[in-house]
Amino acid sequence: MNKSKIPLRQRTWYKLDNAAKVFPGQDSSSWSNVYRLSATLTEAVDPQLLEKALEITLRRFPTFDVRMKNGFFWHYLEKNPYGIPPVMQDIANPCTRFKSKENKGYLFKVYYYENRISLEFYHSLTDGYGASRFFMTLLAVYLRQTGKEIPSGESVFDVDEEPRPEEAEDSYSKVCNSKAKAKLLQKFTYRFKGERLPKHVVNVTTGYMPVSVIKEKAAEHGVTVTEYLSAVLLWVMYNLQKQEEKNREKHVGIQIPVNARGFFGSQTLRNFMLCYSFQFDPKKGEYTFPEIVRQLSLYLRYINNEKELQAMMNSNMGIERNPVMRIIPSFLKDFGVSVVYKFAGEKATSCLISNVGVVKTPKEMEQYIEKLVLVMGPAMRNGARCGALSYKNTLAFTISNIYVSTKIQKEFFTTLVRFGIPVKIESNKNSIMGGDR
Amino acid sequence: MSYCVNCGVELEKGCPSCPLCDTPVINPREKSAGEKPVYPENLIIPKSLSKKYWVFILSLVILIPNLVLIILNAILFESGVVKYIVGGFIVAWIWFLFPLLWKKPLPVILLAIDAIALLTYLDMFKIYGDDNGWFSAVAMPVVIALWAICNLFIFWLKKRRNKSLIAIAVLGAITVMTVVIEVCMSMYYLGRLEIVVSFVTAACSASLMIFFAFLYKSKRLKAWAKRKFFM
Repeated sequence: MNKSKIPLRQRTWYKLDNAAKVFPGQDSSSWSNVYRLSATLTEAVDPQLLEKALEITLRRFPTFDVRMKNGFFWHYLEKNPYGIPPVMQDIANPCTRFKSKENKGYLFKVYYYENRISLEFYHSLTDGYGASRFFMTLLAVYLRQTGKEIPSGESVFDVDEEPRPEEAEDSYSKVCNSKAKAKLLQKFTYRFKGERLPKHVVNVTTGYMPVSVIKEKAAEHGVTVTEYLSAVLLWVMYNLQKQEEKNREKHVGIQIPVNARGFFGSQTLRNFMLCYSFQFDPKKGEYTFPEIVRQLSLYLRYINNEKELQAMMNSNMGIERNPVMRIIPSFLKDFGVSVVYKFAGEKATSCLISNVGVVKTPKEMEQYIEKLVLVMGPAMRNGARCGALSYKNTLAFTISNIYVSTKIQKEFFTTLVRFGIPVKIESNKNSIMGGDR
Repeated sequence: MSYCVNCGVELEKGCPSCPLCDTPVINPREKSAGEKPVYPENLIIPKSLSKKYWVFILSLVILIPNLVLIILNAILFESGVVKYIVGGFIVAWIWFLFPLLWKKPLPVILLAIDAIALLTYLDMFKIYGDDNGWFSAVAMPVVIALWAICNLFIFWLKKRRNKSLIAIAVLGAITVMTVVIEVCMSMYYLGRLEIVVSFVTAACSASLMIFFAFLYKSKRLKAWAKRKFFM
């Protein structure tokens, strides 16, 4: 029987998608590719109701009810026999590494603290789109458990309906068909350096700003919100490099993951994203902020189309489908990925910004959710991995920094303030540094 | 609500200082007592495999083939080479794995242990092989000299960390070691003092040391070298 014909709830295992195959190899004893979604509710969280909500939600999302296993040639996802992951008290240091033997093998962790529910996802499981659908559905089910009337719709899935087969499809394999391949090589870029925080500790700083004001400022330059925020981050990195009095200035680059679903009509809840990389060379001369905004936006508009995305996918899939690559045992593949990633993975980018965009929920739900935040896990080397998410009229922009110095966060948010955007700051700095309140 | 007077950003309620610039927040109208922090204060560091575990695994990996070798040798080969192979593995274990058992290994003690292990291993060749005086004439002085130079180098490193001077110190150590080796060898094999190789090494090292010394002193030379040799 064709695997796609088997009802999703009865499927016992899934192959990893193209993006997901890379992440196990990148893992180290202190680092995994993780991100977190947090929601601050109007009332304190009841962990028992949250467990119940989790149980109901997981039945609707079979692709999340899995654990990772090692195959001889590739890793794969297997149905998890343990019911639900543990619901844990939140910790001061978000986005710690994942281990397949911890958390009952689940590839997402569930935390609660006061009014806040947080879910951390291992990237092999899903991308920001899939995670946000799962998270918002879980929140809706939880609110229903507390007696609220919350309908399904927007990013809240109906938990009573059958999971659709297209939610579990590997869209990379489905879409990849053209022979054109994109060049993947990039120049090595500037990276912020300094004293590092201890292992497993990351400084997370979230800035809340009004979406309407950000949109207005972006419109002044004729660009989108993502382009505008990316340009501000690039501008900050460019100025930091200048301050460091380097003998030779390196390229300054940014990586921007993009959701490919809109281009190919995919509805998958697994990974289906690609990363655009933009770099500019400060050796060419002095750059002004409007110049960076313009160059970045022109580049993204040029590259942001179906054909370019498909060419990028073909390059990635080409590596995966290479006969030699296929017969190499998975532990050797992991070793290869780990070596490449450790030495070159983050060198082609100074920072990363992931904007999941506007998360919409049914009107009835909005009154119970105060804030939604996306926190990207720390990088191995780079000081700025940023997550952005808009909910109601607030954009939450979070910088995850592995360095003791808060220069990047300070420069970024104060630049926004100077540009006329009011910013409210929240951070775990006092919690990780043991500050008094 | 409070704002940071330095950054201009709005701060969460009860925040004692700005998370961006550490400027203290003083707002008499806002009482911080009782406000819960945004993140809990329990910092949980995940457990990771300890170094001791890896030492145990690697020790097993070394131990098993050696045991097999010893047993096979006792039953079948009865070769004299096996003790040198096993001895070599023991020295390698002391050099590379033993330091991992310490939380903060003291380099001076480690060096002493390494030197004793190496000397004992070399002494084994003297005991089981032909003893024609090579151990006391060459092996022992060379190992002791190397141990002394490494100790001096560690002592010096603790005092100074200038890159240009490190180059001078390394060149100096190489020169001294070459001289010691050549003196011992020539006395043992020729019965007289004959210095050729170490003279060449010393001359090359001396010129380089003078160059580095100038480089350290002269800002102009340093700037020129940076210009010429950047990579």
